[in-house]
Amino acid sequence: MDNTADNIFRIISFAAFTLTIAAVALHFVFHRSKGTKSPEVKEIIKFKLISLKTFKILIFIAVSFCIIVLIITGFFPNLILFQTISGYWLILHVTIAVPFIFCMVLLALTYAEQFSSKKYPFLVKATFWLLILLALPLILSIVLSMFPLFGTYGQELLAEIHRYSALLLSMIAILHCYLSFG
Amino acid sequence: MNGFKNLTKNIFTVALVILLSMSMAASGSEKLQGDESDGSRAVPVHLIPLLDEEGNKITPLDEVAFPFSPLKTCGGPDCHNVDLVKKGWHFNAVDNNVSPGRPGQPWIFVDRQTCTQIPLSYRPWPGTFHPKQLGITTWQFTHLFGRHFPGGGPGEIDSENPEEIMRSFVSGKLEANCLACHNAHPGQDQAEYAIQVARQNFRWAATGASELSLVTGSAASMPETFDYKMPEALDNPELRPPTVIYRDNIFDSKNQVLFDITRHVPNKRCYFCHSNFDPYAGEKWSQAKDVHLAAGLQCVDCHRNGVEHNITRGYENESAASDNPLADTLACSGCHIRDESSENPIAGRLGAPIAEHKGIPPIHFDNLTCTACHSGPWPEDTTIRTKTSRAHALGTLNVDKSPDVLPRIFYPVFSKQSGTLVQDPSTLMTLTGGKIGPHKLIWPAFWGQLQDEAVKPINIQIVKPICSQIISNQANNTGDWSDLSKEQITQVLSLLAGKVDGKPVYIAGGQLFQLTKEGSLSASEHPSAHPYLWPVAHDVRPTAQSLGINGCEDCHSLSSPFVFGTVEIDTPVVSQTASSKKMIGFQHIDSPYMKIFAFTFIFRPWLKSVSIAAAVIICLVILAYAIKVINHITKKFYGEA
Repeated sequence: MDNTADNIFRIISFAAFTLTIAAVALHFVFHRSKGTKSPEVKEIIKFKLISLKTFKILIFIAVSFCIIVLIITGFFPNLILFQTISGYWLILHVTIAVPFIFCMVLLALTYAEQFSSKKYPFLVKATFWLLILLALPLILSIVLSMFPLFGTYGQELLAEIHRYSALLLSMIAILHCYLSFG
Repeated sequence: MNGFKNLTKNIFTVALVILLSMSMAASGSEKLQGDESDGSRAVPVHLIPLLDEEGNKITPLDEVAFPFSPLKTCGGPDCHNVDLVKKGWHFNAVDNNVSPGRPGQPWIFVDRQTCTQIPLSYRPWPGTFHPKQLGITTWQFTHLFGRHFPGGGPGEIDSENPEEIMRSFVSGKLEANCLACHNAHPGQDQAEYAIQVARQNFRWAATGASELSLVTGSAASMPETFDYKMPEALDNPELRPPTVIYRDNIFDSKNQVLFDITRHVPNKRCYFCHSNFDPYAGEKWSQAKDVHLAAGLQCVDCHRNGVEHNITRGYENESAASDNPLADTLACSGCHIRDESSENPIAGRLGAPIAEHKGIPPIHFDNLTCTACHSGPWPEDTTIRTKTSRAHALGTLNVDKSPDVLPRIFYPVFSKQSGTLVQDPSTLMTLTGGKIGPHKLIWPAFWGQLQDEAVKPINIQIVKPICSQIISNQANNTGDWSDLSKEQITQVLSLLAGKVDGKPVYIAGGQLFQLTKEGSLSASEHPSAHPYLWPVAHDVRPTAQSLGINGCEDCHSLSSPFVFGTVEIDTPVVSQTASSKKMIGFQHIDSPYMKIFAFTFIFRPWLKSVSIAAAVIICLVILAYAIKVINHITKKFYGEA
């Protein structure tokens, strides 16, 4: 991967993270709902130890944790240290990627019905389905690169797909969390 | 009258200036008649007169047959600008203004008596020593190593030693020998050249090696008063002066000689100085061949040069240190990697297969040289010993064929490259440093003097008489080290104290030995004791034998020799033999990290399966709800209709 592509990605990533967090913050300040609780919050309030709802909550927490760790391990070396992800960062990233994949499957299976119902606002549903959709290029771009199918240029394209999918997924995840709990 | 005088004076001055500038240009960078091709692919016939070192024509009728001078003969009247040729890589090691480029194979001085094995080079490659530091003059260097260089360089430089200047009147200079490379005649005999050099017949070496003549006698046995132009009868009838006998019928009616000269240098000429042999891997016939040579390529198809003889060495970023316009495009990637940004495709020339590297993450190309996976022998648990022409005098008469003969060179050592050096050490630049590639390695062993934390070798002439009292030069026929005990090191160091400026030390096997204040021997690590490594490029293995062909585990496994193999440590010090160093120590990589990383590859097949299964399930969920949405829309549409 040449330096130009890395630099462009860095600039886009910085801009994307800044804009998303700024948008969330501004929205929170000016349009936050007063007293009304989101469906997610209501479900957490109805917490029972052994139930499908508990399982779903745990999955949601696990996915959130995995995404946070993956964002840190994936973006920190590139954006802050100005180096390609490698070393212990890479090992941690790959290690967390496995539970992330599991959790994304469970998230899709357990929340799909919920987020196709009419009781949720459109944006919350849209961000959920975008999360699930973006998981596909994110997972496939890295798995396919492990098979002897793509040459160097194909590998570079897959790496680009992976990191831009990751960037988009991170933005959507932040928005989804805000819209669900904000 | 005065006007006429002035005019004549002016014309004379202008003519003189023109003549001077012409002669300067001719001896400088101007190409002469034979230096530039007119485009014809035909090989020009070289039916030319032989000229001696004074430029006089040699004929069969001469009373005394003089050796021909390759420089005068090839330089001829307006034929080739030999001064330009002598600026080439094969001749310019002694020129301080030449960029040393990537560190390469050194000359290795070996002396069993003093337990010395030291890499030497006139180029300032870090880890090598200047011959002068060891007390080796240019004349001695030529005598020692002239067997395996095509003349020129130190062979044409006057010695610093007055006695040797006198000797050089007898021996002559070892001129740049064009025939060493460009003579396509099967009679060109570089082994004979080595014999002539060993006899100090420098002036006669090129003549003796050619198919045209026979040279007998030895300049080494001649007195300093010997004049080859007027050989007188010697007192001792057993002494035979160097004598040239030109073969019958080589001169035509115009006293010209036919040379079989080729611009496209045949491989056999390169091989004399550039052969490698792994003595423990079986006989030469049973060993593999470089894939390029097997495909019919010649060395000079990739290692090209113009009349400047600035030959491409073929490494990445060579253009930083070389003026050769093809320096970068003749490295591996120039032929094997398609450059998407280039409008004119260069890759694939000479039928080179384009490397696709399917399934290999691009980070490998940032951290590894092409040769890491494609060159040298397949890595085993430990490095193997190898021999090279220049280090072991391969191809010369009565060469020691023992596999254990010194110097000891080990490979493949997968180490980080030290980079490309531009100009001299004061403006040293590292350009390609950081990439891991296969190297050959030698552990220096020498007696040195420690001053300001730096170790300089002690003049071998000081060391020799002391070592000869203490170390027995065991008459074994393996060419192996003489056994050296710690007591002997202590004795030699004690005797050297006071004879050198700094503190006497002995370097061997990566350790620095010195005497403590109490007089006991201590060993410690020191940068000067680090091994010298130079990159391996050949033999290149075919794709089917490249690292990674069996999967990632070729390198990313706990038993991978690439990372976790060992490098043998070579030392004459008896108590420290049979030791080794881990390969990863040369790669500047965190060992626990590499172990953990290698360990993760055990789970990689599972990761692939789980990820694909997950992607399929997510696809199905999306599909199911997409159908549901479509169904909903359709129902709404038709219901409303």
